[in-house]
Amino acid sequence: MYLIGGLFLGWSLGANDAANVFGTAVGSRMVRFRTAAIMCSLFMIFGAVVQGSGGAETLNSLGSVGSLRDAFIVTISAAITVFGMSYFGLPVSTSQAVVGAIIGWNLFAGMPTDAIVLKKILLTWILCPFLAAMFAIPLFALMKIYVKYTSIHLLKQDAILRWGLLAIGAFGSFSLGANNIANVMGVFIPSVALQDIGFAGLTFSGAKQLFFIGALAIAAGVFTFSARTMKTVGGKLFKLSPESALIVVLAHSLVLFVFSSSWLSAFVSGLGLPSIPLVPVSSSQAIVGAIIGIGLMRGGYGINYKVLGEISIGWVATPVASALLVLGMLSVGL
Amino acid sequence: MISPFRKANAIIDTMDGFFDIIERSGYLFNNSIKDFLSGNEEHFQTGLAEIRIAEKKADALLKEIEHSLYKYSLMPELRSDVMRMMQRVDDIVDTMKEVLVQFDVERPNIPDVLIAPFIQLSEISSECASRASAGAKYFFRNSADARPCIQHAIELESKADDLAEKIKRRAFHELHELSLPEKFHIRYFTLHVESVSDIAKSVAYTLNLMLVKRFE
Repeated sequence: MYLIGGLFLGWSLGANDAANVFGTAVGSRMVRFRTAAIMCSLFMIFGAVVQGSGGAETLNSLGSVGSLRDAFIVTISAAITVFGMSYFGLPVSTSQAVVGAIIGWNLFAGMPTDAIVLKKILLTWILCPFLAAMFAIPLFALMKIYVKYTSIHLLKQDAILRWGLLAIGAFGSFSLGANNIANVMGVFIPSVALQDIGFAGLTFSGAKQLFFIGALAIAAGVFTFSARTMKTVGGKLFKLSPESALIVVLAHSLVLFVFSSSWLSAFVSGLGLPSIPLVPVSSSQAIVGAIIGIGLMRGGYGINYKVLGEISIGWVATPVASALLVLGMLSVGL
Repeated sequence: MISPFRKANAIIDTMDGFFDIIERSGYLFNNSIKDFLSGNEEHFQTGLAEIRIAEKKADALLKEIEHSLYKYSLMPELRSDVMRMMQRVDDIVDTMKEVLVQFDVERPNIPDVLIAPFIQLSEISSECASRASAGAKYFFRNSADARPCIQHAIELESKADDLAEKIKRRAFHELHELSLPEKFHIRYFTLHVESVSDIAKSVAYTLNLMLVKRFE
């Protein structure tokens, strides 16, 4: 019953953020919605179960929400914040709402908030759109060269592009599931004790089972409500060619992958470099960052710098709203 | 094994077939005008019959291309521009057929001194059409090859303009033995032959815009 908060958050994540991965492909009719929804759901579930633990550990080290009831209040507050801010057209991120809600719970419960972890999370949020832009710039330059100098017939390029959108969409869905599942189910891990399950020679820990349930909620969001957002994103948010959209989704997916891959983080540490923080980041902000990167490559014309301002306001406003909501709910004894 | 390019290959073949027809029509047009002016009636009629068939075939292929592009939702960002451009290319063969029909119906009396310039005008016009059509074909494969074709087509249209003006001036200012209706008739046919290069130029401009939109 208490899982409903997380499931609702998962559903809303599927309904909204799947559009970041497959929006342009579906909106421009390069990929059918049904194909996109199936691919997106399968790879999100796969990413969540296989690679979702890193972000969850970071969130739980920020504040270990002790009981199921409190975890419910944290997730439902985050969900209400996301829903409310989206309703009023304000930029919002599930990751930021969840972090705010955890801090709100820490404040109410008198638990300390780990300043180092918080600093790491904040830094990652700021890095997310910039890194997406950094990935998008060289990728877009390569794409331009390919488009200009290839002698492959446009119709064959179109076929390659469709397969590319599907493949990168699958990678994007995997990364989104891996990175954002922590928002949906992370706070339940300390309070829900599930027995390990063995299946086909593999062992699924309690956390992985929770991630699987959360990912099913995300998939439900994809199938029930993302069709409209995908078509809206494809037609309105970014007027990009399918080639540019491919780069945007790839840059976004790389950012989410970087901040969720424990393997990559360990590899970087092994090279003697600082380890990559495994933190849930905003999928939408990664998309905006990548679009701005492409805009800069085109000479900076038509970039809506207001969006950057709105993102930075969101970095503060979303967690604060979410934290206040948790404090309010706990104070009235919910 | 099913190729991922099966549908694309089928439409590419249809498109290539379409452009081949346009290319062949330019050759037929030029030869038919030469045949008419040299009084080779039998060859002229054969050319006219062939261009009628070519025009119908081009229409059918264009319809097939349009149907496939929309049915399989191919090149969604480009297809309306592509279809507009291909329709303009199809207008070239329509106009060529129409001009030859006018020659057949109205039988203009072209004085001997104007036969060579007339043949030259038809050569320039059909070459202009051929360059524009080649540019359109290259647009789908290699933008670098499309640009010189476009440029050449535009230059040829300008040449056709100059030559047509010379023919008209000669008819009205030098050939005093011609009656006014005969002069009008010559002007009318000069415009007809020249109109092929005008349409080819509009194809070249459309292509140029499409190249800018896609590659810059």
